Amino acid sequence: MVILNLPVQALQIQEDGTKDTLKVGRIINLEREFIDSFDSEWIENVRLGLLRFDDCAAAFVSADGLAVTTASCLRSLETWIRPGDTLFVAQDLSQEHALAGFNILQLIDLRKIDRIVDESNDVSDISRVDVIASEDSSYYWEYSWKIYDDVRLVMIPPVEISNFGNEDGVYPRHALDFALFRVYDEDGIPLETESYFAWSDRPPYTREALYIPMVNDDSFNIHSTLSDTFDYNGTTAPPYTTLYGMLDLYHSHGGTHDWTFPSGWNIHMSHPDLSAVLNFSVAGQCPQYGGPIIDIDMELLGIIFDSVYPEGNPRCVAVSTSGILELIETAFDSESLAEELAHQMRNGGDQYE
Amino acid sequence: MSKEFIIGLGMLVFAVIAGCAPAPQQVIQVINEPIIVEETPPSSPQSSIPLNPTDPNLTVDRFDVDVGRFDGGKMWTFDSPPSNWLAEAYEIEADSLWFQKARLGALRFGTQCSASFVSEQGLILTNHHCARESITKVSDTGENLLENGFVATLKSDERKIPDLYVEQLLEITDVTERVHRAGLMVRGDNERIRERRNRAEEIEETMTQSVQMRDSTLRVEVVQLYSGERFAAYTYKRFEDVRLVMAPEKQLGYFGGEQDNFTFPRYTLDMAFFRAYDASGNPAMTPNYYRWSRKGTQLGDVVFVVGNPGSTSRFGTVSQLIYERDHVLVQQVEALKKREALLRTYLGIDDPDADALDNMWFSLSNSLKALSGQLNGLQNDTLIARRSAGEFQVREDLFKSDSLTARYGSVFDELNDLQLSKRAEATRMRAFMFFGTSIGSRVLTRALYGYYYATIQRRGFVDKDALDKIRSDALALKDIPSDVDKAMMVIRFQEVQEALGAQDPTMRSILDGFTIDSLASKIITSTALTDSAGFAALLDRGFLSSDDPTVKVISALAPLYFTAQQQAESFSNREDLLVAELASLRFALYESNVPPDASFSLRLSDGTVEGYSYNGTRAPAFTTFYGLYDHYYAYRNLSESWDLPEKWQDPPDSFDLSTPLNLVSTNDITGGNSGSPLLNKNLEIVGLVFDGNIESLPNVYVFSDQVARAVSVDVRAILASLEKIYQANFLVDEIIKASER
Repeated sequence: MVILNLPVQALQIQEDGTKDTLKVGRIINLEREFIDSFDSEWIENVRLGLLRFDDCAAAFVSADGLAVTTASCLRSLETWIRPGDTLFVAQDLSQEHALAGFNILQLIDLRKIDRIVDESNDVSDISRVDVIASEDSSYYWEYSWKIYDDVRLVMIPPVEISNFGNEDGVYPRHALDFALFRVYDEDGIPLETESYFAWSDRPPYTREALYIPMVNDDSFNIHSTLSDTFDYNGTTAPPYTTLYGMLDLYHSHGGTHDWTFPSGWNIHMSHPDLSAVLNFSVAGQCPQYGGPIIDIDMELLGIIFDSVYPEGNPRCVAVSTSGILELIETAFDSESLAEELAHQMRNGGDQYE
Repeated sequence: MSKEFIIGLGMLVFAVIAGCAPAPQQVIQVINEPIIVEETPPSSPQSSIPLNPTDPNLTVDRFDVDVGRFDGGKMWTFDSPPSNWLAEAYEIEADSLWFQKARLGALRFGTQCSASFVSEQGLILTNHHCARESITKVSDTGENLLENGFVATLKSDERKIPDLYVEQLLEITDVTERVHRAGLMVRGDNERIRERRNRAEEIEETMTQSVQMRDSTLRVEVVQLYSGERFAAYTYKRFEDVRLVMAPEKQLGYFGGEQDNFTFPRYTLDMAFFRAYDASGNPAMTPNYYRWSRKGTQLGDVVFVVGNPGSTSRFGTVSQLIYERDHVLVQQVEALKKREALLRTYLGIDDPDADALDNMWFSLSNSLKALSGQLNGLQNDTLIARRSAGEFQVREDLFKSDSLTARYGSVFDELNDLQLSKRAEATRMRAFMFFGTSIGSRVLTRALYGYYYATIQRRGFVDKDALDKIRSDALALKDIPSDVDKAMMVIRFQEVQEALGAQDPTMRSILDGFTIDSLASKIITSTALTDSAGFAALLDRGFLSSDDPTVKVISALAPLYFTAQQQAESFSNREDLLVAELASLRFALYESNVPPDASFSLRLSDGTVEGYSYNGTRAPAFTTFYGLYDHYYAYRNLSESWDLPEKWQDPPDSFDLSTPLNLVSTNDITGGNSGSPLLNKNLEIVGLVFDGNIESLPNVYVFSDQVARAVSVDVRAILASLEKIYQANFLVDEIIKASER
């Protein structure tokens, strides 16, 4: 069995700012490159910060079990009932809404083994073990998973906002496709999480090296960068989109079709910074939606929610954590959440230039 | 086959560069009939017309498409105004007064643009990109009005533009019979056309003399429609004292820069105001103006563009299109791509000549965008199939009439044969794509000028003015860095070698044992033509008798180039005649039920305000100022094209960002329509046309309103900016009062 035989293409930024294209036949090759360039603690932290469910990914964003994924991923769950398409914001822990039947997996250990042995690892945390053979069956990968089944919804934007424009496969894009949930332990207490991605209040810099951790049974990371370098519509696609753009589309389309706001949503009343970055795109093939885009310091810059293929070259479209934070503080009016996220920030929030 | 090439700032500026002038061109020119290398010998001319005159490789058959009634476009003349069509399509009862009002508010602005009167005191609205040259001309030392904008607060502050005039079309007289009578007794097409042209000029002169007896500002121009099937005398009132009233900063007038040219959604305040003055220096009294619609327009509304479109390539044959696609456009695009890729690597370098390089790149990439868009259109089989179906229809209708068949039956064949000749004849033109233009090696272009200048000088009689013109054109070429020039030279020599073959005597004589690269290096290190001053000195001393290393090269290349140009010109003349025949045929069949091709004279085009499918989603019909700010912030680390001047960065709270900024409509427009008013059915102004979207580029071949759109500035954006950002209160008052009269 092949672990992953998708051809991938990744970009690497040289010191002088030029880009090299790493073309690799299989992701397994990439892993070695990155294991060489990152210490194992970094790799392990990234792996433990990641979560997966169904076809989606998620990421821990606080030490108290708070995690982020896309609203589309949650709304497409078979078990999804409440709050339906409407806005939900829990103002404190007691209001967090249990998502019955929703299980989420964390890859707590991944090891290469040369034979299958009977005795499992002596870790009580393990809920499930998968063993997958390498292509030539010369070795195996052992995946040890922890499954969490007490997961509670913290915030989800109304569908009009999370799926603004209903523009699957489109960039430039202006959708706030994210949702926050919290993982609880067996005792019903918010899970203590050592490995998580600190929420960033800035969008990616131009040419900054970005990492897209794969949650797809491996803990590899793909290098990428903010993408503009694409041609679109006779011009150059913008590297970012902003809240201004969302309002432009709302008014341009006269608040009709898929460019509507839910009733009561008056973005102006809450005075957000309209230049806040909403979406951006990065070069490369996307892993599962809901997965994080991080910087070298493991800060979370974006949540992947769609792919586009301008002229056949894949790009991942992400919601910017900076834009989400701006709206959590203003339009969603959730001071406690904003505080929890800000509390985790590692570098005090550099503004992008 | 297309004689026009749209260059420079906006799509709709009518910058026609005749392709076959023997002198080198200052700007990008398109040689009509580039001569290409054929690897296989051409087939002998076909003796019978294929019934389905299409490319055999088409995946879409002409039977799969519908011929649109307006495939040839909707640029209606005021000679035969479309009252029936407006009633049929929109239930609008447009009487002669309506058309008169539509006509009299419109203006021809200078030699390239359109405009309109928006107050009874001669206030004129046009595009910023039509006004650029004027704005620069009236900038005092240190002012840089193009960058900083200009607002006259009093009429006395308005600045007169040297050499600018606007023209209002007062009267139209059908002179077809008078012109045609001149050709009656003459045999031969060429002779008949010449006789008609002479007669038209006579009529122009006598009528102008006559109208000037009553008003010295009037002049008559005889306009040819349907390629000479109709002639009309247009009486224009010319306003020669035109002054700048208001222009926004270039960053607003050209927001999005070259990148956003041909783009929608768009956020550009491409506007400027002027005022016409009378002979005594008072604001001209202009009772015929368009009232301003404070409400603007909305989705689905019927709108009209009144302006002066240039011309299109909608009326030739499919054989011409296929030639254009396979030989002209492909090669032009290829040649431009090579140069664009080269220049791109030098963008933003620290060099005193970096500006000239940037300008070259802008001009080149803009041309590349336009030509690629046209090529994409022709590579779409549906477009060719649609034209095939249209052509088939014409042929069917033709063969129903014996007399028409006798007269026009061979025209399709002849055009077909001409395409074969063009392909068969030439092997050289490919070597000269964009040769002698402002893109490419300055050294070689200067050498070509030098050669041409010396050749003219050596002729027995010399027109000194013409010579001076050549000299000043030649010296106007700005310097570019030497290494770029050398790389451009290498590209050119490679193209010459590919076209002629390495063993060609000319090529061997040019290279003289050097490799292409070493030849270019040798030239660049020892020529005097790398800078304008050195070139001027050499011109005066006698370029051809100098020992400059370019003399040998250009003496070998130039004769080939001029021969190829002459050949191309002869093909072009023949083709023009045949296309005129075709237009006569169409007119004989359909009369004025379909509008004639555009001719930079006043036309009216109807359409509706509509969005369209694009980029996997839907482009809205309107954009707003929110989008302006979205782009400002989104691109600010990437490019200066979306920068905003300081006064725009923090607009007052009272400035409503949801005000519509640009809008799109289905009107048929082309180069020359820049600055045209967009009018509602009450002939109030709702927009200012300034561009077409990228999807409209193939409209040069077939008019389609499926996704092609005209792009306008919304009048509400103009008024809001004047009021809240520029505090041009007197202008706002004037417009509003005029709209309420």
